[in-house]
Amino acid sequence: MSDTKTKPAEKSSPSRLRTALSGTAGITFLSIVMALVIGAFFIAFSDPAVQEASGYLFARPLDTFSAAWTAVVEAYKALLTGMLFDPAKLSSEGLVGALRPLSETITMATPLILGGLAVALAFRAGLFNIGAEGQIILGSIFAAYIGFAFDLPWFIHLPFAVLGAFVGGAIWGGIAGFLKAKTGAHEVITTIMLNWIAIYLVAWLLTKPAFLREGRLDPISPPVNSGAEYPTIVDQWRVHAGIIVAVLCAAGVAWLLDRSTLGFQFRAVGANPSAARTAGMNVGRMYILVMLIAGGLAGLAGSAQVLGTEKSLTGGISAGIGFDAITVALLGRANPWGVVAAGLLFGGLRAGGLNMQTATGTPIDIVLVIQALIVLFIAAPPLVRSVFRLPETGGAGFMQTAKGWNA
Amino acid sequence: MKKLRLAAVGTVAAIALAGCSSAPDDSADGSPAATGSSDFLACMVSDAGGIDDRSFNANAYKGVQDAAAEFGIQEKFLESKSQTDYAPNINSLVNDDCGIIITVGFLMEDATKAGAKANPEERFAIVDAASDPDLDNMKGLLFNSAQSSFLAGYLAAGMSESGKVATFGGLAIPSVTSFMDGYWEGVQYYNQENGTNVEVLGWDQNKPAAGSFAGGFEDQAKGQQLAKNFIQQGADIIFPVAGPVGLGAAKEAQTTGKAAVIWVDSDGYESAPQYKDVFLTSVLKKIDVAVKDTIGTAVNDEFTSEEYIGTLENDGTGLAPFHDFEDQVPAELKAQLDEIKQGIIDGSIEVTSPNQPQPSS
Amino acid sequence: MSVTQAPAPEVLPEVHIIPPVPRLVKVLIGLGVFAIVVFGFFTPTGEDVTFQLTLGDEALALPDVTLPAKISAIVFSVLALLSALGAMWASRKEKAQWPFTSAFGVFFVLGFLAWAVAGATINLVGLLQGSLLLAVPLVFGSMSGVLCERAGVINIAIEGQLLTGAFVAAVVASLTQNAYLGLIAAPLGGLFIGLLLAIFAIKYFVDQVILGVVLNVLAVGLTSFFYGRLLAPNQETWNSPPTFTPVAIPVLSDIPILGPILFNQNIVVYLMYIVVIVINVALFRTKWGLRVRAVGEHPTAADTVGIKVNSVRFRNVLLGGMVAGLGGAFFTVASVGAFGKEMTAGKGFIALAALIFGRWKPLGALAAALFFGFADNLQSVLSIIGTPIPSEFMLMTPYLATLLAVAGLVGKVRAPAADGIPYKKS
Repeated sequence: MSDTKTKPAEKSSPSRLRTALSGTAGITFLSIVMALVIGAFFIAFSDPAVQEASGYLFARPLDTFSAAWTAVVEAYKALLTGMLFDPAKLSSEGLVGALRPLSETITMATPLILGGLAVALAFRAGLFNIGAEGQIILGSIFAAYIGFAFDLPWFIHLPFAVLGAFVGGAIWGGIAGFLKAKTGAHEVITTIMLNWIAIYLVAWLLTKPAFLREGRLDPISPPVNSGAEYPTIVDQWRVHAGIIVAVLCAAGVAWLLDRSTLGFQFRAVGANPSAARTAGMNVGRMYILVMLIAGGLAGLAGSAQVLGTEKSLTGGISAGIGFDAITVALLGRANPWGVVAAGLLFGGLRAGGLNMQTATGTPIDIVLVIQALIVLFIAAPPLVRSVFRLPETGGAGFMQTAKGWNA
Repeated sequence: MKKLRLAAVGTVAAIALAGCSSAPDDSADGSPAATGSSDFLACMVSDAGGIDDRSFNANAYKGVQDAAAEFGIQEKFLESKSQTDYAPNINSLVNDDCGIIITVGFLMEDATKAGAKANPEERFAIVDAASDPDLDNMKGLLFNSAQSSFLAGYLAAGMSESGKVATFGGLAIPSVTSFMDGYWEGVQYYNQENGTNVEVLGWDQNKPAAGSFAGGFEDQAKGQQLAKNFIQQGADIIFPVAGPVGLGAAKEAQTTGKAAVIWVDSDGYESAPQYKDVFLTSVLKKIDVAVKDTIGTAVNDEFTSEEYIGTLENDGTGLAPFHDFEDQVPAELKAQLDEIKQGIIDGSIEVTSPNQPQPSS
Repeated sequence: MSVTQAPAPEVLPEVHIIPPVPRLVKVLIGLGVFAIVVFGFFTPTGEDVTFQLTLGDEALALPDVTLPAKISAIVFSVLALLSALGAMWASRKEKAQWPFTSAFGVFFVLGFLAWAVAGATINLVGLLQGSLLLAVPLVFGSMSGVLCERAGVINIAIEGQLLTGAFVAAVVASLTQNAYLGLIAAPLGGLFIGLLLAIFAIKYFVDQVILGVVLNVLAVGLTSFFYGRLLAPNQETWNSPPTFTPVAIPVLSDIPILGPILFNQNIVVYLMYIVVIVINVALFRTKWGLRVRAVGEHPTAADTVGIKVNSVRFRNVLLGGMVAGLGGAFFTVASVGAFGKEMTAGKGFIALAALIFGRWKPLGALAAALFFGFADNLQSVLSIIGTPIPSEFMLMTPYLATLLAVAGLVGKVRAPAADGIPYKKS
């Protein structure tokens, strides 16, 4: 386990390491370690074998601790093999089989990265986009409809469906941006409401014959035509070209924020809307634009679902990705490449969590706990530093630039 | 029972001291359970409801457990947190060399078919979805619950004193609305035969766009709210087709004492005994039996992909005993129910619900 | 709290929020016209609508009221429009508008019912009684928001606090087989999330919106994890709590119409009345309230007069967590008993909307929560009677109403000035 290795090393090491750990990357790493340690307590606490052994805790305390240790090691081993590499499969299925966990990690990460970008971009413009879930649903609706209702050659069909997903998400995000710009309605409230409205909207559409399979009344759309599917990379894996779209989008968002005039304006509005207004920027227009683009990115996450893994539109198509996307964006510190890394980590936790359930029966919900703890610790570097007795480097953390409702 | 609780309280106190333990864990858990001697492994993937949903996941898993006990085999289940987990879960079970993989619900149909196609040597069975003529390793397990619900509707109409009976669903999906259709038709048939005018609140087979739904299968408070409103609108018999959401309705019926409940899927008198005094009867959908039998065929190498449709005729669906209401249901009504059952079986009474399972051609 | 502190200066009291008068009135007039057109024209002629005014077991039985649907739809709609015009008059004369806006609400809803229920019967008492019940967790949640945000800490974690409250109430009530102990323990669940919120927001200056979102995820993860590991496998021991039943308050519950709605409910509802009244009085009529509001509006000034800004905030956030936790008990011991995964189903976010809709005032939040409860129950009742509207749209109504309300009626509301901004003593 990584935590057992770093701790002794850190104690005996020169202060350079301590300073490095105290920096951004170090805090991120230590936050993950702390979250895993706390997660371990939950795993141990709830493990049936541990519970049994704790019945005679006072008679033979070692049993309890060894049972707890075994439970935690087994669970985290399964988490890791489910994330990255399964050596047991190397002999029977070769590299393709052994690397399947990594391919699953990337598959799960694809929509998370796109959703995370949607949240991160809005965040940089000072908007808190809790609506990725609804935007993913709208993107999915558009992508699915274009995918199954048309029959086109793939080089037209796929871009068309992907564009549709972007437009669908953009509409939903744009509504929140428009309301913010024109009426001042707070985006946190409007995006939460739009999430619910999207859930019932897709449920309603899935009662209409135009969205149903022929001769069937089940609320599931026909599968998208093969021309609209994201092509897969290795036959036995589920990884699809959506990951390329995700990485391109990350590059695009990075360019937009760092190199373009529009991005400069977004950041200016995010830093201080009244100063931006004084400087002659149209703040309302910025809100609308950034929410259009953010919504579109979330819509693309929907395309990864519909055109990549699920192939059909259903009521649960968004699968909570829009909410995980918020934590992904925060872990990635609202930085496009940070979001890619965070998306991969959380995708890995999702994939590894499933494997952990398969191998040890640990409920997948522990992954949610670990995710929340990671973000919580990252948000409070002073806490992490004091736990590990690291030097203070000064400066406010990224998530400490708190703003009020009225901002 | 009381003792058990006290023991649990004691254990909690012990946790406070020792900081590690909890009440004895006496029932099934996620880890693979070695219940049998044979190395045949029967596996199941649940949907987001989990095997503790006290509804169709639980019933299917009961079938798996019954099979493990009866055939001396081993069993294992995986829970899906969302639909993105279906395919990975099915894949990891394929890697675990399961003798058969049970999946549930139309949402898992595509993932199950994909799994069956990619692994022709693996056997699959799916509850509430049809077989696929192109796949000889996937068996569909369907239930014509409209037939048994027809009987329930007739019974409800015959037992109602207010002339209003009610039904609501979890979601508007055919595996739910087929119950509601059958119930509605049963009431109409009663009116037609007896010249009465019993009303159905919450569903009309001819207006499927409207209707009362809880919006899911988890929110028991929603079931209680719906039942409260039904009772206030004058209904005295309620038929919730929404898994555990129906428990909220049973709770309201019990608290107010103003309505009886017809339970769904399993015999509520046994599966939810805390409300047994309000259960008029239950419309049974014997998923557990179908799953167990299917696993049996796999154990004995007699597995076929031939579709199973549970009907009144093969007893895959039907009405549970009246239990506490045995004496209150008039003998004449009981006799009529038997006649109608025969009528449905021999086709002289036609159940017209468009949501009945459509056998794959 | 120490009484020896210097009193807060007079410049800080009562946050006076100037209501966006013209827009509200414009929207109401627009809705009034809409009502006349839609309800007037589209209600079928010749149908009656029957309003029941009793639940059937009251001492004093009121007769049902049967009205011709079309005519009453038109009459109610016209009355609604007149009330809207009255509100316009009131705003011009700078008189209180609320009697007119409330009248508008009542007439608009009656007009809507005449249209939607035409040809059927609706039990008004039942409708309102159920609405109040559905509003209970929203009210507790929004009161938690009032306590936190008036002191300057944004509370998005209401959802998580409700959830942990529900969880703890169910587990404790189940283990002890005593619903009252569950109710008493419930605030501890909310307190846990409140404590995290307080520590990270006040001590570590973490952005409070982010924090709330993360704490919600944590609450869902923890409760679902323990549900899967402990509660579900040991249903009998861990998750079968006894529940409260309605208790009729003598005399008061015999008042026609209002009696059964307000005074034949369970103990959590009565607690809600107390909590709302206490918070409202404490916030606007006590020195404590003055301090809290000072801290939320102008922490620097509050500090200069000797108020310990961060400890006031800390205490209020913990208190808020406990109030929301108490509301969480509603989901388990005050309704169906057993805990279920994510059983709060977004109610915490609606509570947040109610808080904002109600402009951070206890009574405003109460009114908003009641409105949401009404929208929710109306949807359920109409689905039973059978309406031409698809059920998905009916289920969408509360959220659509919130969206329109926040965008159209409330507009840019003003939160306490320092809400969400950590206080660092420099």
